Amino acid sequence: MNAFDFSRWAFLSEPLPAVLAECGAVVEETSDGGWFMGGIRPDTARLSVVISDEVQGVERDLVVRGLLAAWHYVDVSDWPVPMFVQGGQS
Amino acid sequence: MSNTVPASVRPTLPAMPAQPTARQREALPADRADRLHMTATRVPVEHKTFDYIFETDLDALLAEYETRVVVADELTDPAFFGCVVVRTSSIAILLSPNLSEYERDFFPRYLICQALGLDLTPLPTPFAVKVTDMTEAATA
Repeated sequence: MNAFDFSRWAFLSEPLPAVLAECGAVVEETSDGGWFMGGIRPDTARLSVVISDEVQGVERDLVVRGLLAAWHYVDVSDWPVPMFVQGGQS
Repeated sequence: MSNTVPASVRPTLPAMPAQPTARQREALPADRADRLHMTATRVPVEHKTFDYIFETDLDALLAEYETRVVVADELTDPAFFGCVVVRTSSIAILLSPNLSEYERDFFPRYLICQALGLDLTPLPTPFAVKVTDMTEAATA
């Protein structure tokens, strides 16, 4: 198995549990919806990916991947799920 | 936290607002907006307007609307200028090879407006738009 290289392709193609493990991330659900699809909250020892419970199925999978990719400086402006990403590591 | 730094590695897209719009601010509860260092929102409704579509950088617009533009070199019909196919999650645009540089910029924008169902002033003669429901063909 190849090492996870934090590339766009790795974020899109690796199994989601592997992506989460490589990023030290867990997924949380929130009832926030509307335009909000998800976000990232860095906790002390891990990243929390907060996803709206209105985002389900393939869209949910891709938003989680897209947020983690954007967090790691991958360009997600043409991500398979259209989303407007703001913020980042700071 | 700051919401002002785009996460994209192309942070200078001229038409992408660096600040959340008022509508986005309303959509995000204050406590969550403050705690999250990064947020993803759906394409803002402000972007689904005639003005936005015709003023935004074309590459950014095509990326935002998951639009692929193909110039069909084999099409020689002088009456054809282009067509748009709307799918669930993307848009495909086919353009005539006989278009000028201006027309290659204009028609994708015009056809995206058509795909979004925006109310457009009819194109001047000799252009005309024909809408075809291809649903049955797609499921056959």
